[in-house]
Amino acid sequence: MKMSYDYAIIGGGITGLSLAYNLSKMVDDKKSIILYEKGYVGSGSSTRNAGRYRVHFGSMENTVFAIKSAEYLKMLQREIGYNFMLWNSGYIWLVYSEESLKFFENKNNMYWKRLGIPVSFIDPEEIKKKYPFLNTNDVIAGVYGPQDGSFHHDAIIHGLWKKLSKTNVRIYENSPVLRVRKENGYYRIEGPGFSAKAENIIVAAGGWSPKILEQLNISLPLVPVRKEIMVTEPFKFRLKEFIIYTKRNLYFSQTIKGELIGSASIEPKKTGVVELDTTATWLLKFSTYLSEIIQPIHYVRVMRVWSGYYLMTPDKSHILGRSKDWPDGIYYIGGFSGHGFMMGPYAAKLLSEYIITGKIPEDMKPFLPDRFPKNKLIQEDMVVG
Amino acid sequence: MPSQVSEDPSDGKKIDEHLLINPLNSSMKYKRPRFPFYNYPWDPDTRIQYNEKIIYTFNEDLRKVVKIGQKKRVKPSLSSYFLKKLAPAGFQYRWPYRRIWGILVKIIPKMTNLPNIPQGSGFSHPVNEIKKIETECLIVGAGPSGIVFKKLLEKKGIESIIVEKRKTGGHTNLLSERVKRHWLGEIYKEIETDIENVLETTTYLGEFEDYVLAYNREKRIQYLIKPKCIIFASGGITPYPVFENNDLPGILSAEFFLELLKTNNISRNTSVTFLVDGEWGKTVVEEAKEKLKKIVVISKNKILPLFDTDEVQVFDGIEELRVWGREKIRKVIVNNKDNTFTIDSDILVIALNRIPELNILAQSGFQIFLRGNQISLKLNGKTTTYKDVIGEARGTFPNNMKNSISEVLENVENFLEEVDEDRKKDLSKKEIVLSVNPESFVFTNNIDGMKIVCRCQDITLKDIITSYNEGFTSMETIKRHTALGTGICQGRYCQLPTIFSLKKFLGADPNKIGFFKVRPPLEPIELSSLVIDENEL
Repeated sequence: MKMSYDYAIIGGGITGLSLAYNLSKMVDDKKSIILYEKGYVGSGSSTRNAGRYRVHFGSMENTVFAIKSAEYLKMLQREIGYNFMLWNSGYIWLVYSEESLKFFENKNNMYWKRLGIPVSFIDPEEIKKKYPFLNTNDVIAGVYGPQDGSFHHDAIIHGLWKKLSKTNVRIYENSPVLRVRKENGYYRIEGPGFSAKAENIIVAAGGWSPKILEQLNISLPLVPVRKEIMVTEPFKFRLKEFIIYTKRNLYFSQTIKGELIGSASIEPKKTGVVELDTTATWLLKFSTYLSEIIQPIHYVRVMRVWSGYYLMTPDKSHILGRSKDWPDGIYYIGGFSGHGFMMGPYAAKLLSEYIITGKIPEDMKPFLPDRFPKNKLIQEDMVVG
Repeated sequence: MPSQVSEDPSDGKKIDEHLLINPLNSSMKYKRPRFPFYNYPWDPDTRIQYNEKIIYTFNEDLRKVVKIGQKKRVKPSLSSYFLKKLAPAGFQYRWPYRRIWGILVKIIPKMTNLPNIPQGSGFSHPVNEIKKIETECLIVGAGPSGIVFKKLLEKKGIESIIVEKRKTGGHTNLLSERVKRHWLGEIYKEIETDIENVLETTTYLGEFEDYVLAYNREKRIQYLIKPKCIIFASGGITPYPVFENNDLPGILSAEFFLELLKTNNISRNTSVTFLVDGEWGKTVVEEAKEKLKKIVVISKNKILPLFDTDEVQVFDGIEELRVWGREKIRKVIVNNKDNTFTIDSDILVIALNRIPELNILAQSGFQIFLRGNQISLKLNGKTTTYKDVIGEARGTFPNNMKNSISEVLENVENFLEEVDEDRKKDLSKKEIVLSVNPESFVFTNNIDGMKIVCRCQDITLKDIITSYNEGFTSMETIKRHTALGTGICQGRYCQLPTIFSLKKFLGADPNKIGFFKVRPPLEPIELSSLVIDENEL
């Protein structure tokens, strides 16, 4: 086993795997890439999310990034030869106030129309006709985004993993990285049963990143926030779109299997690298809120509740790249604030380009870590859930 | 066999004599229904699962009486075939297939025979009451071991409550007095007198981070409990064995069978075959002997001495089991080394020795290790709650129950008296060893055919072997690759058959496969049962 690697990726979720894939494509065979994952590949947020993507964001930067991310997912599917079950199932935001409606109309005029992804505003009566089990009583309008959609997160993880198994990227599961430190021009990476050297480290460890960054004396404004999510038994598939019940910051939809899957941000919030446990309080409150919007809840049975992290930044947008005052050879990808799976692959592609060529791709520039000390925050105000 | 289908049983009229089961959509072969035929009572009852309702009269407490539809000849549905291919995670298809998928995905899901999202009336729902309880000891399950334990606690002056999802007595209520007396032995006297603080019709939903949640269905109360000790007297379940056509209608678990027998829903002329491997099987047959004319007993073990061959026909030492029928089971086929026997059967009852309900234990923090014939449960010492297991859930029932109960009692006493946090943690670190028979799970010697391992998602033996060989070698990854365990039972019935099948056919190490994480709620619970008044929280 080689003990010294050119590139070490810490984290085996969607970002880590996409990074490994892109790097392996771009570097020559003599370079070595290793990936450490503390559990099984995808065991972090990558297998805990609701499997959705959207292109409609509150800022120009994120909207552009999201459009490219969605296109990249389609392209990646073809490249990898694995069915990601990508589907333009659409999003509907249910709006309850004039103010809120104006918010969406402004975004539509300012960004979405210009970028070719306009939303349409639908009458609540139309929604009621199509989905009689939804409560549209106080709804002023539905904001419909047909360009948004869904995918199967496990399929994407498996596809990448299988593709990587045919490259010379080494993936070590059940290998939590416990210690990282600089050592004579290299980085020493240690964990239970392994110790290796690497020239470059890319931290792609999702909600667990702050602990690694701390050891390298890098501080980024990242806050993991625990989110709980539930799934019900399957029903006949009727609800194609992803519904956002803005009154309670609650979202739900139906998986292809027919299960209703949904989540909401409910107080009290839990922040930090806390145990990914679930609370009775959340389940009871969530069900109460969901009952406001879905009618036939007498027979809809909850099967399972789990949790995962949103890794939040002050401007609700991800961090990509490195800062000049960081030690050489350290890169970061993360802080996706709730839209990591959909943006992860494209972000990883851009980061790979930067790592290999040294040139910062245009789409990556707004997301550099330098924006925080420079106070050039992205004006992002659309987080779902 | 013809059946006289009569009217709605709630009319008071006698329902049909013969237990007739209609096939409805499930796996791609034969359009068979899913597991409502196997388990009870929390399983999706047919009022919402299927387009056509089926008669299974449960006992009055459960109040689930559904009418049978007309016999309908149905062909396997193409859509269910495709959905099985499309729905699970991750499959490799070349470009033309992906294009077709993109088109089909718009129509196929609508063609499944899953029930419609039901239409209710109105959007306001009655809230459930919230009751917060702090207690020294929470006992889960008011079966014999739970009752005995509570009485001992009372004698010691330790305060406790029991949650029981049915009625006091648990599964023993399924047995007639005569058989119950014999099965329980000296414990029978102990459980006769009343105990206090039993929350009946209250389902234990699991240990959340903030509270233990339990729901009383009858009174519509959500209990938010903070116990110092949790003692699991949660009993056992009938294992789900793997053999050819093992999800045909007519294959019932012993519990379900007893339920139907008790409520007089199996006619005397029904021919029943019992798959047994020990004392519990004998007890079930004992119960059935009075009411059925034709009983056949089959077993892998040599169980001939347990039965009176004047009364029942016994085939023991069998190696393989197959079931045949369309649309329901009609024949049970067994073979040993030398011969094959075909038994005409209307029903096959799985009366194998019950295995501990592991989901409840795993959810509460017990790690499960498998060593040959043993299951080892280990609680990691992070807990500030003392947890232990008694009775059938510990595998000590009914003969050796008393010894382990007194040991647990002593531990509970010590824990409650202990002030030192570290000492408390030490008391919590224990290893509990149970027995399980790997042979109870696999009744076949080859992997082909319709051998269902996960009957919620129609995952066959061949599917999991293929998945394992593709590199998905742990339960978590097999689950994600095949969708095994993501259905209603949440792994309750499919994890152990998967592990033992992989061990048998591929020599896999059970502990490397492991179990996937069990999360609450431990039973599927209606959203309407979770609606509360926020201000009461």
